[in-house]
Amino acid sequence: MPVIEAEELSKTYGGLTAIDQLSLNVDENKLIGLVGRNGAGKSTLLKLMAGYLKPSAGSIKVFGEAPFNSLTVSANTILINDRLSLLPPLSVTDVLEMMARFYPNWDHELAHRLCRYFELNPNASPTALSKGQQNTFYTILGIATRCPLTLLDEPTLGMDKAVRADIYRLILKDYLNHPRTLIISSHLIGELADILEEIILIDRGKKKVHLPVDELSGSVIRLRGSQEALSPILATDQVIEQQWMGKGTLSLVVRNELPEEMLHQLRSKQVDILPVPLDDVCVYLTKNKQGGIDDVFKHD
Amino acid sequence: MSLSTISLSKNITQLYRYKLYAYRNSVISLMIIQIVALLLSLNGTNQSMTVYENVSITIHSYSANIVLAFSMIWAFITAISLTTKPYRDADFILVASRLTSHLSNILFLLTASMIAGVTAMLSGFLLKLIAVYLLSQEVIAQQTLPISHLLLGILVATLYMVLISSAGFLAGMLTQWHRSFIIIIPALVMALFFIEWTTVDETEQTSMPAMIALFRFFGTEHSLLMFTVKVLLCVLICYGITHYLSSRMEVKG
Repeated sequence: MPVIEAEELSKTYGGLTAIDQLSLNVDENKLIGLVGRNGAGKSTLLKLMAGYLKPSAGSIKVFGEAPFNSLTVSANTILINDRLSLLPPLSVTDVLEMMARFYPNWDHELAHRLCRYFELNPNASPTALSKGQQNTFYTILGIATRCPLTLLDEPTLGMDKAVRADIYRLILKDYLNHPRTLIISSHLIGELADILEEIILIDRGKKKVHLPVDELSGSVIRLRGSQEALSPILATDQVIEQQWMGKGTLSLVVRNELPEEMLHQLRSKQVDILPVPLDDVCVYLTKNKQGGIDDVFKHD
Repeated sequence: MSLSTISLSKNITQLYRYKLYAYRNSVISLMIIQIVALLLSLNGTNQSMTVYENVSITIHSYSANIVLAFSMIWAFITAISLTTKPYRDADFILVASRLTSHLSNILFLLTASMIAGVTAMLSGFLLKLIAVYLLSQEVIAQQTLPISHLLLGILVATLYMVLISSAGFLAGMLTQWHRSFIIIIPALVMALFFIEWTTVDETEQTSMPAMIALFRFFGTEHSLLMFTVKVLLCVLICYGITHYLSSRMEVKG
């Protein structure tokens, strides 16, 4: 049974379209990355899943129910972002106690041990913690609730590299011990790629791809060679980006949809076929058609 | 992973208990406000002096009216604060639907009203004790109050708090729904002092500002039952409207 089914889902704020006729199916017990550029609609999509927002058009179902105003969805879903509204008089310990009362799968032991490990002051108000510590605390909440649908929106904002590595490890370990549907949105998808199973890439409110990580990273390749050798490729519409490397050398980023014989030909002409890091794959797939930042500086 | 289900009533109880704990600071602010009001009342709310031959009599009246009024303002503001974004959004990090969040807010406000009503009424005794034993030299006679009167006072004071807090909740929710109500509500309240309200009796026709008519609608009611019915009716209307508004509100967070 799919955990999330979105059908032609749209969300508009005023005149702005944040989610644009997006259709999506998410299966049970998957660890998924939600990727997209700033303003692509990642947070809006997560809020629609959590029932925070009401769809403007189309439909979304979570556990077979419309999430807006569903108590069952609320009890089985948690959405963590860096703007969590926790009331100032509640301390870190208070919040842990509260979560324990509301979420039946809550692992109190684990939450306390994690707070100790990350050296979070148990008596401090979460709002008084530093940005990175706040997000660490919120992520601990997200993990320890063990909701069948756990949504983490940019969990690693403001964390230093060591903490981020710990957090990724924590997410993976707990996911393996207690499989559930976990969706993590992040800019730092390269760091996350090792633990993810699938990636949903959205761009301007639309779903670009939803693929297993391996398939996605193989979907774009880089070709580097002489202009002469690469000219047949330039004629196809698979080229995403081209860059001059000097001395007649060209570097192309292309969709990996070239026929095998063509690749073979390229190799014989000393063209290097290189993998593209997952981060860059996502950037290329959501590339603005009007050129890059360099073009901004070009005057007629 | 199997889904957990939760009943409406269990969730409301959970949220209510959470609110009693998380909003506990509001009770402290009530106490501070009541102490300030008590200090203001120590001068006596009313004073009159009579000279009879060579005996002069000064009468100080002490009443907890200021404490009651301050407590009402507290109830109004507390209700408004519950409708603000941090309070509304916090429920959704926990488990809540808009209905259970709304109902648990009402339960909290009823509890707060009861606390305010009881303490405001009892502060009247504290005030009289201070006036009699600390401010005057000797006691010649002392009047006692039957417990039924005290209970009646507490009940009426509580009902007033319930009324005011539901009005505050409505005002807050309207403002959250649309920003323009920040201006519309105070303007409407002021306008009520000037809009004429005419009541036609069997014998005569009386005109007064609508606000005074509104005060009289509650204030001059002598039957406890009628008063209770009037208050509950208004409260139901306020919470009905706020439920309608809040059931459509999104969590922007």
